[in-house]
Amino acid sequence: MYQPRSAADRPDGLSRRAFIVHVGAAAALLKTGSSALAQSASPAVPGKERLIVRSPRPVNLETPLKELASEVTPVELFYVRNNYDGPEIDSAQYVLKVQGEVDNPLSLRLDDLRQMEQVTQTVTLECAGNGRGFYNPKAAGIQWEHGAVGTGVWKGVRLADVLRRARPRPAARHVVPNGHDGPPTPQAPDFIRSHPLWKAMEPHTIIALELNGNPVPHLHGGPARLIVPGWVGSASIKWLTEITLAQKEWDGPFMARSYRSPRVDDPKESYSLTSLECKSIVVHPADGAQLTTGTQTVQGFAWAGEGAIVAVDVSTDGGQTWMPARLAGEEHRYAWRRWELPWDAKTGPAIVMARASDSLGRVQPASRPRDPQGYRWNVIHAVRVNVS
Amino acid sequence: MSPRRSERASPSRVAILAAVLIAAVGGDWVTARARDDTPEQVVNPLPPDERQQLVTGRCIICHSLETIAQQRQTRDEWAVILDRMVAYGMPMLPGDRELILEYLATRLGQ
Repeated sequence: MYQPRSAADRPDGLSRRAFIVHVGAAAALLKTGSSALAQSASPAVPGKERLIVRSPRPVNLETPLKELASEVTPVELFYVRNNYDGPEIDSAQYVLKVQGEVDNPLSLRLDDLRQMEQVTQTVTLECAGNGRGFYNPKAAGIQWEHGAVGTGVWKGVRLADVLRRARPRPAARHVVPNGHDGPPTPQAPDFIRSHPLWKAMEPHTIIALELNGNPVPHLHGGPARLIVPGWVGSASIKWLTEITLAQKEWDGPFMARSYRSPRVDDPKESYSLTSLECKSIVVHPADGAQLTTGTQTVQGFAWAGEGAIVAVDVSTDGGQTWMPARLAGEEHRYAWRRWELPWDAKTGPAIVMARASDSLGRVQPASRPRDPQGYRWNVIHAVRVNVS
Repeated sequence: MSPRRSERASPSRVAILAAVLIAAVGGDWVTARARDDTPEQVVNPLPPDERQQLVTGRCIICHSLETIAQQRQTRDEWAVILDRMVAYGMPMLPGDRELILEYLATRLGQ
């Protein structure tokens, strides 16, 4: 069975190049002594100035909650989560290989992908670790709060159409995508996560070439990235250059160790994360807001991965009573749903909360047990306001 | 195996480069101290003490220091992370592991 090798074994020497890029950056930083680190206190990424820099290298940028105002997240406000930073790819040189358990291996250029049928999907992406910063005790990893989530209009080709061209063999059960990013040392593992063939063949799973009407920017995985809708963001591999069909799930550390949570029936065992949780966030009012008495609109977004949002209930009295919010805006199979509820705000402090329910029977919980790696945070979001 | 395998950065090259970097850090690394001649502040986000440079020089080879500074982990949890980083190529001289672990556990503990 063919399996992709680690980037360290790639004939294109990517790992070495990536290593030099990383070490070069570190050396330059130390030589100049100031500028690079100084910038790390504020956004260092052009075009992303309003985002919170959780890490400049690899780039990890969080959207402040107050900036998540529109149903489609503008690129300049879209969060960035990188395990490794990928080098820029020259679109003219881009090649996607489809290989492994297939009868017709493919080597596709960007124009080949552009000439196939294009589909457009509005999809919410969320990092599996979004909300990790709220866990106590703390779990290791980027300490995201609410904003490692965003919704894009993604346009590209169905992964199923590409895979059909390659004619998968009956033995093929898993799709192992790999991107043009590489680890900073030869010993560190390549960032590879696989998903089962059924998810790959779903018509909503696409190789995206455009985000919000423009070519997918480099920071978001351009020129071509996977969008595996409804699943944790790490499934949507960026800078996609290889798709290998395999008999078995990928067993590298990013499948076998990371992106796993304890099983409910046996917490000593873990499972690889797939669907996002049922979750809502309150975008307005903001935590700590000073509001005036009278009608306020409580609003936010709710999403549920493979589920569909069926209700969002809102409390303005700290969870004692709940009222159904109106599900507003457009409904997409794999995108968040905007919700809103008018609230006659009376003088005094108030705690505003939102609780989402989905078609799979999941309801947002009031608390969550410890998750060793800080995934799956979807505890009811509460904001404290003062009305006067 | 790749015909260009020999061009890859070998562990020894990693160690040499790391040593150079660590040497370059030396004593002139400005930590958490504003410099009057520049509007930009030079801020090492790691808690300052005599072991800060030991951590800075090794970790910055692969990732920003912010990724460390935002963590709060127990000593045992840090030990797991540290050993994984060594497996991934983090240079470690004899005796350093305990110093680094002690720093992480006391300065970024929970």
